[in-house]
Amino acid sequence: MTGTGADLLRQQLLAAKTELERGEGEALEVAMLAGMLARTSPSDDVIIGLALEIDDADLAEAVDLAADGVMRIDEDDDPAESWDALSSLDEVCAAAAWLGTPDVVAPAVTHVVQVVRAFPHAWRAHAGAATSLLQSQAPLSTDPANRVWAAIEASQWHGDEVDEGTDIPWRVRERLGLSLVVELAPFLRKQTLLAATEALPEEPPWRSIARESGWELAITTDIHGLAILLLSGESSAAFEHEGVAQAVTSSHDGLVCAARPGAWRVVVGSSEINFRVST
Amino acid sequence: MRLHPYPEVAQRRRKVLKHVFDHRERWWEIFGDLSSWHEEYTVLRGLGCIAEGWERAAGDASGEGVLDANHARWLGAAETACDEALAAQRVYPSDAGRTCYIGHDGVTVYTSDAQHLATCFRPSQCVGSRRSASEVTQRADARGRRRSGIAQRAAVRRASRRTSLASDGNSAFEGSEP
Repeated sequence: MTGTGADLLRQQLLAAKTELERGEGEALEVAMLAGMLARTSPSDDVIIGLALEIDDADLAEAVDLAADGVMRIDEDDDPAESWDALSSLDEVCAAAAWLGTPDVVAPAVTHVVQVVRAFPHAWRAHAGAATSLLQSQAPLSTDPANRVWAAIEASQWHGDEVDEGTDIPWRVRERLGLSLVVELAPFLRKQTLLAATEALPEEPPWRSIARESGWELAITTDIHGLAILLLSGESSAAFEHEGVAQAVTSSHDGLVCAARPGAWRVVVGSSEINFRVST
Repeated sequence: MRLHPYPEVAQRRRKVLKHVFDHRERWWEIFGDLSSWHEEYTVLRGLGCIAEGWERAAGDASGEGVLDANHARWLGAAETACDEALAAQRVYPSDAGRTCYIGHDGVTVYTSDAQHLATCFRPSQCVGSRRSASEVTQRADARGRRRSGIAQRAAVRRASRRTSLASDGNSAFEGSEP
């Protein structure tokens, strides 16, 4: 957290404490602020010696409310709204961890994490912020909020930006310097059909290699069962195999090039996909 | 500051139901009439809107009336919050070139360019609340508007943190402090 962020929390904590001492404040708000400040400044003067009595039932009620707010978020909601819901839950978790009662909030957090994983689209907008937060303002190790932010961070890997058959989107692989290797063997194997499905059209094996808005590059088989690279959704592209330009044919499914073992480079618009086909 | 509301009535009703009638946001503190808020909440709950969405009020004059009247109040509160934010310098850059304004009572307004309303809400508050609306209103009666300090603090730290994390590495946030 930046110095300004810690300063703001310290100011707010002092104001909330003053209100509490006047009998007007809320102890849980003080605990939330203390918990958040403790994440980056555990020995801050304002929280040293601070003692609060908060009933577990109040904490459980607060986390239920916060968790319910997170679970009411859907894809149509504004990112500012989903951020607010997340923040509300995070603050209750910070309070629970600081009070030494993280177990009180853990069940609600577990439920939220399951929902975020099941419906990641609504949370993708915050994946980058979650990464920054886990790096710079990480919750205490006992804080259940760690699991929430990890699920938010992981939300970017789910859904239609994930290549089927691979764990990591190709753009991320590229940025991380990870090589992409596609095995040819599954596309050469004779497919076994159950007798009951013989009359149905056979689905060719398919593995997405790269995908952007509007196009997808995949390895699959043609009607003769031969392994091919298929670029759908784009009418022009350059295919190179071991540094040699390859001829492509146009089909109703897209641009087709015979898939052979070796190093490939495919250029689609401004995107360049490098991968290896192995036997 | 005048704001352009959503052009579609459906979106206005959806947002009003989502925010004004979410008891975590405590809008009765802004509108100043707790019993009216509770009566209207009861109308919408009776129509099934609280559980299933504003569409359950479609075609029902009382339900649509509640949502539309509250849209007018909500938009007015958003405009007031923008003015308060500008005066108190509680204005934050946000994602996609949008701007966040925070009013005295924690009313948080996001606008896109040309003062088009993107959204308006109060920070979700889990401090000292109760799940049932009737309990919420009973407790709020006694506590009144002083909770606005809690709401404003929550709104400020959440907006500030979002901006701070964005500058740490979320490229979705661009722009400078207005």
